[in-house]
Amino acid sequence: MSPISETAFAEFLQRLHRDAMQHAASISILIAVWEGAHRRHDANGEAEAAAMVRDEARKLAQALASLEADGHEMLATSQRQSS
Amino acid sequence: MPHLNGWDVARLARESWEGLPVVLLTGLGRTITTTQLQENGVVSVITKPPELDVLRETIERTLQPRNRTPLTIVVVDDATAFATVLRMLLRADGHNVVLAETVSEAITLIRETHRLGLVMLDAHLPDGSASHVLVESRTHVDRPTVCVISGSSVPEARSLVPDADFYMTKVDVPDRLGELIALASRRLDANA
Repeated sequence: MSPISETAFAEFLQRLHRDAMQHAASISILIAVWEGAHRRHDANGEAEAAAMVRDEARKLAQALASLEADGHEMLATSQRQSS
Repeated sequence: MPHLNGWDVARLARESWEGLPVVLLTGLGRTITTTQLQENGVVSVITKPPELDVLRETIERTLQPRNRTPLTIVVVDDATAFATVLRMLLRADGHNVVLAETVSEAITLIRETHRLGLVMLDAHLPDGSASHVLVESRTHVDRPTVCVISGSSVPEARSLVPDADFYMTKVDVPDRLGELIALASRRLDANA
């Protein structure tokens, strides 16, 4: 198998940091926002935070799926070049 | 009051008594946003008719002396979604938060901000080294605490921006924020 392109892998890591990591961190913060709203008996704040958590979780899943697809593509390219 | 709604009353009260905590009594099904609550200083919301124990607990909690005064915080991060939710969390605790996305924006903001208590700085910024923001913070008259946050790891953040006061990963922010705010408050008081 040929080595995976260094440029492609660097871009892969950059996207992992830029997209997936930021969404995961946002979810962590939003859970704390939700907990604060819960302590204040702020039902609207809880609902707003929960909706934002769902939105960020959806974006995280999309970012991971995209990275997975690109990882498979990098692997396939490497295998094609070696055969 | 015939010509004022609850938000007007809350705003007028806070204009006369800065930092006055407001407890909002509202009917079921009313749509209220977190922004409305934050802008009007609402610390708790109670649904009408209030249950006696909920009312008592809310008032007791509201009247407890706060052990920290709100800080003015500059958050520097080009990941706007993350910066926005971090601002929500900090504002919910009463802090004043301003956002910058780049090194140059951050430097301008830091120069213009008075009584600056804390700078929360992403280790990766698009237009230069985050260390420039740390250097600028060190020249500020208030000597704000500088915390470097990283999406990846603390060792990476330390290597990119050495000599900051505090380091943490982004996912650890909720767990370590109290410690950071306490440190920043102590330092601001000591420098006053």
